[in-house]
Amino acid sequence: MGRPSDVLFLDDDDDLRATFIDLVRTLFARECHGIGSHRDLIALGERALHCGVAILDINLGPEVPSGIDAYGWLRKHGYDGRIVFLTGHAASHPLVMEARRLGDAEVVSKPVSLVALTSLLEDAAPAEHAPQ
Amino acid sequence: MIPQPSENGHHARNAWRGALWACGLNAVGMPLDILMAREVTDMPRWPPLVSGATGVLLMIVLFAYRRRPTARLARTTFLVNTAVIVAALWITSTAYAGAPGRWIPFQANKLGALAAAMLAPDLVTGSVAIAAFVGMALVRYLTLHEALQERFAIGEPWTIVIYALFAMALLAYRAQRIALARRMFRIRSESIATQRLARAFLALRDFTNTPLQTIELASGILHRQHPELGPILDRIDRSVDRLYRLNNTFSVYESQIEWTEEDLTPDPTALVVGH
Repeated sequence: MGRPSDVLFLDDDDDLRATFIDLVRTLFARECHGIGSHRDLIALGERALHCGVAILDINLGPEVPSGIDAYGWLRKHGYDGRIVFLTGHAASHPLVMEARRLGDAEVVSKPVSLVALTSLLEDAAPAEHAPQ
Repeated sequence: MIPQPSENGHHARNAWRGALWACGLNAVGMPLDILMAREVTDMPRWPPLVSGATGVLLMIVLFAYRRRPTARLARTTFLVNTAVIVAALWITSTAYAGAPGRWIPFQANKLGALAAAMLAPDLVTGSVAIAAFVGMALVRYLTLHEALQERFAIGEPWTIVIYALFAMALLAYRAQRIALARRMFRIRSESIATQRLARAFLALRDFTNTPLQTIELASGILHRQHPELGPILDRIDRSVDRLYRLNNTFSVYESQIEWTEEDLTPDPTALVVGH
């Protein structure tokens, strides 16, 4: 079962996902559930819904559900935590525009600096899990 | 990938189409002259037949080059077609002028001048064709016997000059429209090329953002875990920063892209390498 301090990270790039998990575990002493696709998210199920913050890549590759679909799944299943879209696409890209229109999710452009990422996770961190 | 349109190819195709229509009109129209002149006893039948047959022959040539038409081919066939018609009209007009009854002179020349204005591949070719139709009529008139000249209706054959003026005006207007269309075509081609370049640059940027993000985060982890590696990691960070700045320069292309459905889940590799 996931905890509110856990971080959900969805990105189709294996190296980035592994590095992000290492970062969260090493620097923030928090658990990070790294998944690579919408299907993985469904498989993670309840554990995903209990994470405090979900960081979702918008484009998960050609011809597959996007991060916006993952957002839809999370909200549909009662997820009320913070959702941040991480994207490498232009601000004018239709998927990025759609993500901005959702209203209750932030959109952050890749590459995000370590400082900005720290701030993002600190804001979402419960008091007992402040970064070290 | 959006195919690169060719301005010369577009122009050549239009010129080819005009020449084909002109040859078609010759092939169909000139043999009709035989019907029109069936009551003129001295009318030779071979000039309209030869002219029509040449029109058919030129159409076959044009069809043979339909996959790779050139403006030069269109100009040549158009001028040969015009020359053959004018030659045929030169011969038949003598028989018409001498025939009993009232002849409204040089109708075919007037029609030819107007058709040339509408179908000529370009301004120069059209002007030559109009001059040929009109010049032939005037020279024919001047070389006719005085008795035959006096049979002409009032104002003839000089009304053909008015036709020539109208034909030249139509030709000039059409040439202007063609030039405008070519300009629009060029602008559109440049826009497509810019779009393609913008897409490639942005795809390149999007493609590199994730690896850069990985390097930045990995460097961050190493900074915390191995502070003694600081100077080395600082060099990596500075290099990554330079790549960030390079990526940011591609942002200027964002405003030049008209996003399509295909962009919703793009494959960056395909956009960059083109397949």
